[in-house]
Amino acid sequence: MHPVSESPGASSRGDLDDAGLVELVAKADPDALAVLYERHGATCYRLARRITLNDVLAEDAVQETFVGLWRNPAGYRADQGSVRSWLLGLAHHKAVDFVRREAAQQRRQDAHAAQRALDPPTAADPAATAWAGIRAEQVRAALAELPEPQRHALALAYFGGYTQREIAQLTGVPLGTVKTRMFAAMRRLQLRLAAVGSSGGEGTW
Amino acid sequence: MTDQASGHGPFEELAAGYALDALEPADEQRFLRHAQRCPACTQALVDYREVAAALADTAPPAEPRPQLADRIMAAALADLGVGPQRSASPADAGRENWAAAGPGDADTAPGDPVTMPGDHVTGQGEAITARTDAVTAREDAVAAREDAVTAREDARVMAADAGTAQEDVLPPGVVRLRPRASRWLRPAAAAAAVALIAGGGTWAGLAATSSPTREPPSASCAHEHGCSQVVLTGAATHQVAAKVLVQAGVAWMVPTNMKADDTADQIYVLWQLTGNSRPLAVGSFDVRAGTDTPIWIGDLAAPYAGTLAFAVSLEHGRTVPASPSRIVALGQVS
Repeated sequence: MHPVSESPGASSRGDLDDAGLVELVAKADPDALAVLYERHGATCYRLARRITLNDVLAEDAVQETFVGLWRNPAGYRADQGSVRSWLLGLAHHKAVDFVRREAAQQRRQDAHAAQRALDPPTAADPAATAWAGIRAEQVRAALAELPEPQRHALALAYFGGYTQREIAQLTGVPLGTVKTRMFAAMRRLQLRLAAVGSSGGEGTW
Repeated sequence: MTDQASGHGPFEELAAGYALDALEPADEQRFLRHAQRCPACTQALVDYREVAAALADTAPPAEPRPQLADRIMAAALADLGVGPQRSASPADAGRENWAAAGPGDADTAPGDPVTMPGDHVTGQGEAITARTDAVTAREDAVAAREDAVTAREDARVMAADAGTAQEDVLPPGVVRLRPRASRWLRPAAAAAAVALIAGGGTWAGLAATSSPTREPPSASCAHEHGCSQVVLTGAATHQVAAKVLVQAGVAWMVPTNMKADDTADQIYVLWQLTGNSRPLAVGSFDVRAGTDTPIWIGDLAAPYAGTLAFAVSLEHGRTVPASPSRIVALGQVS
């Protein structure tokens, strides 16, 4: 990814873990912000791009996320889990915000796209493996094990930006069913991902 | 699965939905109010947030443009210091930038306030603080924008009183910042958060009779002793936009690749970024198409030693604002 900072300070910051970098950001250290962006900016952008389906909105979401981190690093606490998941959570929230302001018409089309996003790959694509990395494959494998209705609810929520009530209307099932499916899906993913030792984690990956 | 003993099941279910940003506002409020006093639910949210973050890895590959990194770092560097800050809203940051490469197809204003649920959560609810902080930060941004407008009007009054300097260079405006408790105050710089005088404290611009040397540095400034050159890169183009030449404490601008500004209602401003204070205005200038000669900007606002970077902003109107509104070029001092 494009290196944002080539100063000697940036390379020394590269040895610190994410929590240490956030502490430096709290001391107005722009190199620390640069390293955090190098580590997590691309994933935040990928997520925002997948949700908004729009380059400019995706960039705006990422910009608000990292400038927000710069201006309010106290928003992150060490007991909040990984810095990565916190940043992705911010980016996700902002991207979903953008999407919810658009016409409902556009998002109806997204419903089908959201479903395809989480479908198991039909064949082992070498190119897909190259860019996805082992971690992504683990998550996809865990998703493949979910019953289709649970996976669908998850996709509509996380990538489609729909609320549970909207998902109930889209899929024609009661709201309670949607809540149960979403909860079950998250529970199963949590157990499945913990089993492969992949929850949380620092650094670039 | 359901913790019947404490009746916690419904809230853990809400935690999962919250981590996915899928809850209706009423459910969000319900969860936040409960999590405020429930460490188990706060922990559940943390755990589900990790799961949600794992989903992000399955998104299709996409790389952001280098300009995104530049905009983020430019905003951070412009923030270094105290006082009214420019909004975090990217709508202000360069959507209509003269050199913008991105399409202007986003009609929504990211700065619009978001309906946020619940009260500000403290203590055990740290996991949720970030969301409500975002609301407060947005409100601060609005107030900061208003402060910037006020400061700009102050500068205009001051400049009018002082009279305009010769040529088309307006003196750096003396601006009186309204002290305002801001969540963006950095502890180290908080003590300096009152009045700032651009121009190195001497306010030479008002008198302007003891004319500084008007001999521009030679083209070989970079290789001369006592002369420094800083290359500025366009924030949107990522190409070389201009050079700043500093000689004998005086800054000159060489706009190698800058778009001419509309001298009716626009002006360029050169800013000096040091580590201890907000960006200091050095002076203002116009760019005319086809001119390549160095433009005299003025005395540096602070000693060159210790300068981190120079930045150029494009401002509406013809006066120097309290702080840059839109950085169009930035260059670090090596």
